[in-house]
Amino acid sequence: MNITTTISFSVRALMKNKFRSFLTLLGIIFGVGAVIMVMSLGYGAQLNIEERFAGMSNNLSVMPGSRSVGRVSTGAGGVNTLTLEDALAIADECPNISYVSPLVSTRSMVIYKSTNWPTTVQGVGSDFPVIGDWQIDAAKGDGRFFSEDEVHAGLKICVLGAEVYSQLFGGADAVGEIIRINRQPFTVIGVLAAKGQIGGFGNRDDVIMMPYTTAMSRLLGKVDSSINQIQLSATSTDALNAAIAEVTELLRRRHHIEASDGSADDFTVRNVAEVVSLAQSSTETMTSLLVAIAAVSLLVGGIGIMNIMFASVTERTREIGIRRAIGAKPRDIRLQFLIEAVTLCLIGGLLGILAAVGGAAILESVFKSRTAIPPNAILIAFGISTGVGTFFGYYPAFKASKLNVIEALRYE
Amino acid sequence: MQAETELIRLDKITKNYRIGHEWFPALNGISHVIERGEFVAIMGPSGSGKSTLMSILGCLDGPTAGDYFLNGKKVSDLSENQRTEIRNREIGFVFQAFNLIPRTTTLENIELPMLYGNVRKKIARAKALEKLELVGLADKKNNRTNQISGGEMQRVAIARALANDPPLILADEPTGNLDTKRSNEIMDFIRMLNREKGITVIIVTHEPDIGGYAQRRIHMRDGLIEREN
Ligand SMILES: Nc1ncnc2c1ncn2[C@@H]1O[C@H](COP(=O)(O)OP(=O)(O)O)[C@@H](O)[C@H]1O
Ligand SMILES: [Mg+2]
Repeated sequence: MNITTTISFSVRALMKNKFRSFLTLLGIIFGVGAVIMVMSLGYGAQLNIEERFAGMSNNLSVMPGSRSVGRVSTGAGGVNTLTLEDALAIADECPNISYVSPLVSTRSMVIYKSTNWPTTVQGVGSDFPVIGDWQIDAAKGDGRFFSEDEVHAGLKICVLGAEVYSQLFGGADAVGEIIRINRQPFTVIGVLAAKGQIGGFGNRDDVIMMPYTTAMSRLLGKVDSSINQIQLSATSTDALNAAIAEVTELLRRRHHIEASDGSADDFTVRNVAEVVSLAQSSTETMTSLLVAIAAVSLLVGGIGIMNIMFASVTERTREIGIRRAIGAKPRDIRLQFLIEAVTLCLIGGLLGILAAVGGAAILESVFKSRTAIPPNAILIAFGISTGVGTFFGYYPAFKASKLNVIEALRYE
Repeated sequence: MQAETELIRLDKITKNYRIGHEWFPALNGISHVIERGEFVAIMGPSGSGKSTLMSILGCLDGPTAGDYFLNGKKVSDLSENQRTEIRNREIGFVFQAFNLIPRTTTLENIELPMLYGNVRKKIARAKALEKLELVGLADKKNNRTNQISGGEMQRVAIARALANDPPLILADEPTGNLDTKRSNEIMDFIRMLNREKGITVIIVTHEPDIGGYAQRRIHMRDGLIEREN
């Protein structure tokens, strides 16, 4: 018997019991819905990561500490191998590098009038906004970033991240105001445009930036010139590998490291692409875990399908007997019930996608989590539905195909 | 010459049913030949084994022992799939309870044996309409099976039995659920099929009137053929 005829029999049987079919479907709807919704959370996070690093694909960062085997060592604590002079030398000597900024960082309590706010203070160079793609928010006062001259002069000025601005100033004017960081007065010269929150990255707007000279002398009270990081931009994406080689070569020379005698680097050059893939792989791990949990509800849905299919087989015992008597082979019967189960699941999958779209909208508006339905969601939902239908529909269909014809014909 | 004319040969057919730990003999070694074009009625008291014999003749069940030849083929030891093909192509069934498929139209019921026999949908539809015309129900082709009377249901069932033009029609108490007038209509039609189309017909009945339509009556008792007339 041909497959379209079989499908039409199956659909008709489902339509006979619309309400019962729908109730059975709820399990599949929620299951597929939950899976797609969790995937859309993961996909949203992935898009966030891509956007966070968009326009920064030329970037490199240099950290103190060596790269341990297989993964990137966190390094920073206590290792003071990277210096300001290294940063200046890169700026002078590496033709494939267009922008350089040293970076030092500390946690400080910031006070404006009677408001306190603990935040991260970063000491950076004047190239920093270009490298990190930071803009001044023109809507929050007539601000600007500090210049190279101001960095050299070590002025007590700062630029506020959007979060710090809103915590300290609410909506009021900040440019020209004096805030206190570690009890010392700093003049606010600008407010940064918000970059938004990213799951797993902390709030990037919860930051204050000031000249690294000022930060090193006034806040960190440094006696040496060690810094936490050097941020770099290569002249182009194509120049990235050449830039990495240049920087590595230069720093080895400056740190008297002979690669040939096997001594390890005391610094690590990372490019943004690497960071992105690291971040994405951790989101993926998280997403897969959640998808696995969501998939448990599919199990429940599948058992519901199995249940309804058994009921359907029992109800139609006589019909099965008639079909077998007039020429349906066991495999025709099996296929008919299998298609019925799969069709049921496919309808559930379709409604599940709609449920996921609704659920994702709720997540966005209530929990402010970014979600995006992955482009392959429909394929995935159909794949899941077919899989669940086949798996849980097989046994009832098999039972139906094995019924004794004479007993089935006598069934009341 | 012999094999040309005989359609059915039963050779010492026995059928035992298991009830708990006991074996109950429903057929006790039946040997019999039915020629092509015969119209035979199987009669006998309830429990004498008529339906059991019919289910073996219809390849719905196999005998416990003995050989059954249908249309020159030994069908008693075929696989389930092979028996299904025989049922589909060589036998038309008419049941006491009509046994039409619910929720489908009369036409779809008649198409069904053809579709299971892999006849193309278009051809099946045309042939189904032809059979429906033959039983005089062309105007009911789009009616669902629950929208026609009992007599009409049995006529649709006969049309379905004729779908693949089988040489043999088996009818187990075909008039058991019909009044006398409808019963006679159905029996007249079945006799016409036998006489004009040369189809071999075997019916089960315990009503002498109905048995009177047949050329030959086999009387059964306790799983054996007691006598015939
Ligand atoms: N599936 C079965 N299991 C056990 N006994 C059966 C079964 N089918 C029929 N029988 C028994 O076999 C005998 C013959 O039954 P059946 O062929 O239906 O008789 P009839 O159709 O002549 O009334 C009866 O005694 C009946 O109880
Ligand atoms: Mg009977």
